[in-house]
Amino acid sequence: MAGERGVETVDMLLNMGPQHPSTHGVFRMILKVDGERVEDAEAVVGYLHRGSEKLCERENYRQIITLFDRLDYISNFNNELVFCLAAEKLMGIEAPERAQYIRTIMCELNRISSHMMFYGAYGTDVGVFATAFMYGFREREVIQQVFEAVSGARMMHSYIRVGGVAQEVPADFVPRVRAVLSGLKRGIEECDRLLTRNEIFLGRTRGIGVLSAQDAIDYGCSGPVLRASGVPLDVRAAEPYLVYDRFTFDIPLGKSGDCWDRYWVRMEEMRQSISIIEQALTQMPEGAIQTPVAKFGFVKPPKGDAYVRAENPRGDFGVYLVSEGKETPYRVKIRAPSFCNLMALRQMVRGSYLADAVVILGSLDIVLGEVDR
Amino acid sequence: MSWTDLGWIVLSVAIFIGFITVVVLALTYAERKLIARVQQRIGPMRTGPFGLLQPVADAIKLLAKEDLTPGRSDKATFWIAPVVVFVPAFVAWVTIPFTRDIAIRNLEFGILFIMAVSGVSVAGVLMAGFGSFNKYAALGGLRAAAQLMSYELPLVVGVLGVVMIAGSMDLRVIVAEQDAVWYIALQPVAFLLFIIAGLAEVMRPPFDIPVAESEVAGGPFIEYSGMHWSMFSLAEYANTFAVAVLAALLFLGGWRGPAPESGWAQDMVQALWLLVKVSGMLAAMFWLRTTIPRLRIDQLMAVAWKGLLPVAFLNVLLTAFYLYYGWPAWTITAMSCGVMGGAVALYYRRRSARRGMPETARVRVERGRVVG
Amino acid sequence: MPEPRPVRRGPEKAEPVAPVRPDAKMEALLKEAFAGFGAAFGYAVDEVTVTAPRERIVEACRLAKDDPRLRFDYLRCLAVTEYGDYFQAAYLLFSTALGHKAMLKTNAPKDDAVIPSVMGVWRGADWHEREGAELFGVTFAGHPDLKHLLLFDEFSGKYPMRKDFPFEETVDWTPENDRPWSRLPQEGS
Repeated sequence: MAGERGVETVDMLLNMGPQHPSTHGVFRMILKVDGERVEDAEAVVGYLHRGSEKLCERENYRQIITLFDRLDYISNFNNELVFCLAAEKLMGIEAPERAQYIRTIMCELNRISSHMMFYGAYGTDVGVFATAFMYGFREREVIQQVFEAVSGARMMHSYIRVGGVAQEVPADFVPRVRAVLSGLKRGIEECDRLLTRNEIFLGRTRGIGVLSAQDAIDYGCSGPVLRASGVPLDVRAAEPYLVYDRFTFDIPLGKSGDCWDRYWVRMEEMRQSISIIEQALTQMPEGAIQTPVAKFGFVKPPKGDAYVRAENPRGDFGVYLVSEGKETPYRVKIRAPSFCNLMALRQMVRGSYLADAVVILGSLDIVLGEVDR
Repeated sequence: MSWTDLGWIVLSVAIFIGFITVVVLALTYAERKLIARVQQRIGPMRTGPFGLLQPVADAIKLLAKEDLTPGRSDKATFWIAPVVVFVPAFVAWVTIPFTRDIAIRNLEFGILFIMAVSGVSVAGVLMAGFGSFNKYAALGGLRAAAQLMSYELPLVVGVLGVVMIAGSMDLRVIVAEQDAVWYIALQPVAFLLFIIAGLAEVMRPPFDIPVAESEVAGGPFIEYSGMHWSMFSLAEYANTFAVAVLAALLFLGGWRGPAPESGWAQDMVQALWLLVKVSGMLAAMFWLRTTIPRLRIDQLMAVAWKGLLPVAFLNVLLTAFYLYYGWPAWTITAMSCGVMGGAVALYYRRRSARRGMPETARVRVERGRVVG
Repeated sequence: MPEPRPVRRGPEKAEPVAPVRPDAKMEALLKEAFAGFGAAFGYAVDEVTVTAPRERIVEACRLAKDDPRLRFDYLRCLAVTEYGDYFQAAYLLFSTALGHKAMLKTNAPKDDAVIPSVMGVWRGADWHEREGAELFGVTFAGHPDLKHLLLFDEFSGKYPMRKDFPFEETVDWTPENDRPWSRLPQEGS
């Protein structure tokens, strides 16, 4: 290839990852770069492939919940929930109302903690030396402590069960969550002040990695990535599950589909999650938290197939569950939001600067655990 | 030159290298502690009281570490590169005075010498980039070359304003000339230029593009470990310290401040005043590091060539007018402020013409139904 | 003093909720739209499934996307499942404009596991098809680049998601046996 002044130049293949500080786990990007320009990019995944779908065919329904914890390891509650909803849908049961509320609260808290993780990691991607990271993790830590109090584990909770939740929440749950929320509100504002309108941050993220609404839909993108492109698709509103049809909240939308929009949508979603949790805390009834199915673990859905999806922090997490009426599912296909969002990466990265490639990848907020499964 | 002269030079250089090394160690500690406070942590606490021995522990770790050479690297270039970066960083200190009387060797053209010497380190970074046989290192080396050369210009032209007013390149004279008023008041534009370009010259955030951890994973230094890596690190901190000291000398009146008239007490107090000013500068630099995202390489170049350089030349021009016509001192201050205000206004006008503040939208969901 | 834990009530009687039925209007619509396809219709709890012959699956997908009454522009998921002697690909569709959903299905016999690729309809089918190809050995004809996605390149000729791929066979790694997976039982053995 001849350069502008007839100088012979060659493209360079740059192998970014799996050992690279900003590939968010074990992700690999093969970049074809011309100086600082990225000509083409190829995503290589699979370093974390554990055969979860295959393992699901051997384990029984209660054991599978632990496998789902380990898919998107930043938003464990949401994962568990989707699988339980799928099994419940096939069995034609519903969890008691109180359990539904507990699930909602935990999932929304998990969304905040996941977005805080994104905030921290994204700050590092654009080059704020760890400050955003520490801010994000400070808020996350408070939520993790609630998780620990409720489920007994900080990350791999196995708390949501088919037909309910594992155990009653602690006695001080409601006041404690309220206290956490008021702290979070302050924390989010602080995070906002550090980064959102920073001139350099705007310069680094605006107009970068633009994904049009048409392309986002075509690639099957979901969650904040899709909504940043201006598509008002939120599973919580499009196909309300749990008790989401009882809340009032906003779906934040971007206008241009660039990195800043994706960032802002997540920041705003945290505020909306807080509002949802507050509504849920006021509405939460007393009562049972498990149906007998959950209590005794006789989960044996009838023959058939069902697809359930829910709004995870990263997007539309779906489970296609095929049952043959046995103790173990016949087939579990996991539709991971990061997996689909990552498909759009190539188009977004093409033609950008090398430094932008990192910013774009960060704005997708992938978790390789669910990409590779 | 007599033997005693030579002995004196060797001794003072040895003392000086030791001194700078200690300063650098202290600097790493201070930086870690300060950044930790910004991030609501407490920083190193385990090694010694308040973690004071942390730099020592770091140094021992680095010394004990295996020095790796990449198999296909250009060995000579690879090993010489740290020296090429390290030596200028320390040579520049030869002429930097700490008080009116203490300096290794005062040069009449001191500031020119410092600028010239520090320019050499570009070669070292570039050598490290190419010698490592690593694509990230090569990218980082090229970035460093582009960045350091671009920012040399606004740095030098910015300092030119100070030199014009002082009428000398001798740092001691420059400080002595700030008797009535510090040059930050007369040359605020030059001060900002010096800080911005200086940060870029020492590759510190937000200008750490050549070594950006999240992009090129350490850039030219990616393949270095142990002692050779620590040479780069020492040079970086020595340069950072030099920028802070120069900023204090050129713009903040150096060691000026209430002090006894003579004797060792005078030297002590003067050094203390310098230290106070330098600490302020360093704290500001560390603070910037923790809170500001990194620029992109094209934005960085745009800042240098489209922003800083014209402003620097304008500043020199205004200073020349001021000196030629002998206007009162406040005019140069007013003009400088005008230049800064104009530059900022121009930037924001151009930016908002290109794109305003981001627009967002939202859709309301009530009881599971989208209501728009 | 800690407050007493709330008294936990016994589990309420399991009340199966009213069986969710698919939208009858959707069913009628799909039956009308896919009338000429020789398609079979069924249910997946609350979704209508349309099983089209695989020769016409691309055509069916194209129709589902372009028909103004359907407008299934969003591919939620593409799931390959192994049943007895055939593979089934399920295309889970959703319309962002109209907010409705449906499921398209197609079957391919095991001895001729070829399904036309729908990448031309939804680009989002890309990785789903690559995954189905490597895990099940279904060839998605017309896919531009059907190479391995999740598995490493040497893992060839064996399809771990098939039912005959063993769970229990593990081979310990030794220096002499640097590629233990190559000792896994071959397909059909």
